[in-house]
Amino acid sequence: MSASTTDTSGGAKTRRAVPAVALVSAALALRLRGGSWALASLLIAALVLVPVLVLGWQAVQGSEGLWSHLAHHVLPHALSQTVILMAGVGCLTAAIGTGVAWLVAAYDFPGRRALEWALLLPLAVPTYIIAYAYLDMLHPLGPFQSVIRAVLGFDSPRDFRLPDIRSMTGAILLLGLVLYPYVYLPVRAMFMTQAANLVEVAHTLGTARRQILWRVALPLARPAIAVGVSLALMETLNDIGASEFLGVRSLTISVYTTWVTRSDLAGAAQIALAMLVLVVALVSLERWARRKQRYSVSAQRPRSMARQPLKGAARWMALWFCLLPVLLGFILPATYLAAEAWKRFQFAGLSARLLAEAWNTFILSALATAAVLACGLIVAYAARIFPHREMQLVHRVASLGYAMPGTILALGILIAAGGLDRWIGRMTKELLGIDPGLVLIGSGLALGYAYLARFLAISIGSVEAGLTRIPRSYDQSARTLGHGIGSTLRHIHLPLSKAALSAAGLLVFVDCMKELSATLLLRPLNFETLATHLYGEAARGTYEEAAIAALAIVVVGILPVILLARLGRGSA
Amino acid sequence: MLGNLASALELEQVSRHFDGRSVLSDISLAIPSGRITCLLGQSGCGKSTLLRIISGVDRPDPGGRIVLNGAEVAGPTCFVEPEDRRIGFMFQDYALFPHLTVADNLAFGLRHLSGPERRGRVTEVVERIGLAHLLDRHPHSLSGGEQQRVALARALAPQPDILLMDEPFSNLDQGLRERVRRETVDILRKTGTTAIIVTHDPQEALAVGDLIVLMRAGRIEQVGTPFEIYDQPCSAYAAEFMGPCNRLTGLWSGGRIETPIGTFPADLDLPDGTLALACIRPQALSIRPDGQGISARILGKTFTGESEQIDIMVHPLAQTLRMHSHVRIPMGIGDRVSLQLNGAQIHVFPQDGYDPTNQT
Repeated sequence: MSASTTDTSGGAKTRRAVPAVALVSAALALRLRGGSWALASLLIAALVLVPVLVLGWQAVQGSEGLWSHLAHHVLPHALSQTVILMAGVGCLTAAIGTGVAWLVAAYDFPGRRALEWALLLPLAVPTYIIAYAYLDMLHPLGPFQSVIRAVLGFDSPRDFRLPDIRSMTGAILLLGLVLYPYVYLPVRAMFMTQAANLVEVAHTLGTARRQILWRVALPLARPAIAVGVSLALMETLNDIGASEFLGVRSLTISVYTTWVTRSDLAGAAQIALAMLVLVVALVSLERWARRKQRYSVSAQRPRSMARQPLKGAARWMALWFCLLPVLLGFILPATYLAAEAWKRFQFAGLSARLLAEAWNTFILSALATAAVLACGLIVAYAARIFPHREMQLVHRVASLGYAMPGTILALGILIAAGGLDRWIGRMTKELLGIDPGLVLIGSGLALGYAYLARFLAISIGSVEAGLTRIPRSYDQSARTLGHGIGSTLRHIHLPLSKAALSAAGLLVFVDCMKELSATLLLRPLNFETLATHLYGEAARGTYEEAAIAALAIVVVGILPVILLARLGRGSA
Repeated sequence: MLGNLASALELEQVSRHFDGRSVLSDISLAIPSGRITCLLGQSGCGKSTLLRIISGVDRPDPGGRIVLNGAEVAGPTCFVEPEDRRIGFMFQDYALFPHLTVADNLAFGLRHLSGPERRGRVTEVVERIGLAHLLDRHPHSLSGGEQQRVALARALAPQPDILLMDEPFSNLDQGLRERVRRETVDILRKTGTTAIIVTHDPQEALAVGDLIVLMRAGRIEQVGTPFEIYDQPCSAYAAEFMGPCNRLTGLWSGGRIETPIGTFPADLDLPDGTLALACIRPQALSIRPDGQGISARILGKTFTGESEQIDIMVHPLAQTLRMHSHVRIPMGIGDRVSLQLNGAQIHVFPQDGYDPTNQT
């Protein structure tokens, strides 16, 4: 009886508030206690979906003439550039990621144990930072080319210069160097946990060790490679800095310039929709591969295969093959940035401006992380309380942001928040006679919203991974011992998933800190983070304090890499 | 035998579907107060689902009704959440919270009490169950038997109206299991707790249950005391589930079933000339070396220590009959013997698939 009364208070309110959405959300779930969790989860999912819907609506508003201009002059080039970039990065990351994963999983050679985790280090370098670093390093007047000229005996860059890094090839190489860990990670895990028995069976059936890679390991790893490549390509699509610095006119750049320089919102929205098609393709690829992966996972106890010790020249070749990506993707740019940052620091110290930007970055990321964690907890916990199919759908929608390029999300939010801001401005002016300015965008709320939409998936995923480790019998025990849903969360789930929550917090925080594409579009006027500072300097071609900002981002970015490396070791 | 006891829990037409698949259908049942009831059945028969529905962590399909101590807790218009039902639940894996000490685990269900009251209750339950030396330990440092006792104590501490136990002994080693089971039953009896124990082990149900509810594919097959269930099974399924049986098909005529090894009377309403089934417990059979009785031959002997399992062949019968002997049998494989029957351990049922409501 107490239940029926408490139910109606929450349930009736929710039913009145969202009559349409109630269909989706399993009317049943809302009637139960804990319905508020389902409702909150639904609202969060809606928040993630709103930018995309707004974008579609805005794109439809665009005038015919504009669209034909875009379709003829902008889109074909941008689309082909993006497709070439993605194809190149896809092949490169697949080759590097799978190659090094096979070497460290199947063979033993000097330095293998260190390389196993060092191969993750390029993850700490965002795409726009590696582009920035190499652009500076390989500048015709930069240190690298000067040394080569000196060695070869040329005097001036006019006599000899390396091919320009500012090209499609350069972009593919640099992105490949920092994105291959997305492939390396799942493929290595696949080799470590699944391959042992199959490889041994292949051996006893007379397959030579050399052929095993082609005949057993690669076919086995195909789904893992596809998952990794699709994630790497999502990052490629999200990238704005590297393409800009390296002169690749990708879709992302077109969206950005169409809005920023031409103030053509409808046009930008239309290009963004074209990007969305690529996003859908990538998500489908990933989902397909994950389904495959599930099937190929066998029930037997995972066991890593016995590594074959390499001898002679082979061991050094293996070492170099694995060392090269780390060297080029992390050690070289990081060392260069450290040296440049030190030079700048000795020359000018830390400017107040840079410190203020660091503080901005920290506060913004910390607040966003708190919001993202809280929302992730709500969605993951609601999915646990109501394991219905409808809640799974809500959960999936809420996790969509990871695939969505920051530019798309930011544009959608910009349209929505801009409209809302204008409306708020009009209302307050009419009622109070004050012009509040742009409330949502000016306060950074819009930017926080973009971070929430983009990084919610990380937090949902991590929290969920933590929650699934807690047996359901704990929930039921706590409930029958007189604790409600909220109290069970507080006393059982939170203490038991502390580790997962802190890991999620770290990952989200670092991602917020590195975020560039949405930040560029949505930051309040005169508000700079470390990433936008670096972008500004690189875009202007002035190299002042950017090295310090870049170094700071890379150093903080190493933290989640350490976390990942430790997780990997734990599972192996 | 238990019919005149007050019932602590009544289920009326409780059903449960998962994705269109029926897991429980039309369960109606009264659980006697202060007694131990065993829900018995194969895995997947719905007994654990029924337990979860009683506890409130799962809900029945609309239409069913659950009344706990006279108050409706689930029904067409009402649903009481598990935390408000005053029901104790003990899980197969014990579900002790790993981040809390034994003392904190015990106090977990007592948050409605004040500090001193809570401590008092913990002390009381600790003394009764003998856990005083474990209070500061964490669950992972306890042995299986200790974990089981802590789980029992935790479930009993809030003094629930009814205690539900899901396979509470199945995680224990064979040797330990019997001891823990005896202790648990002692505690339940001393505290006068109404308990429902889910088990798939007929021996366990016979040993601990005051009442046994035998379930089959989401329905109740038979309800009765252990003696009723074992001695008067309502169906061949019930007879075979409670212990091994030799199944013999025979012709029904004149209130008796005629089988190759004898004719047995039974209280069945069957038309003459239909096929019927006799289930003969192994202990109903005995053999002697001499020639009196039905002539048989020993086909195989398996010695299990406590007894000897003997397979015998009776001439016109295609199948072998199995019996147990607790005394040493001097005869060997292939020897001729004579077979005796004890009619009390023979149960006769309509042939499988025969529906008594369908006769013309």
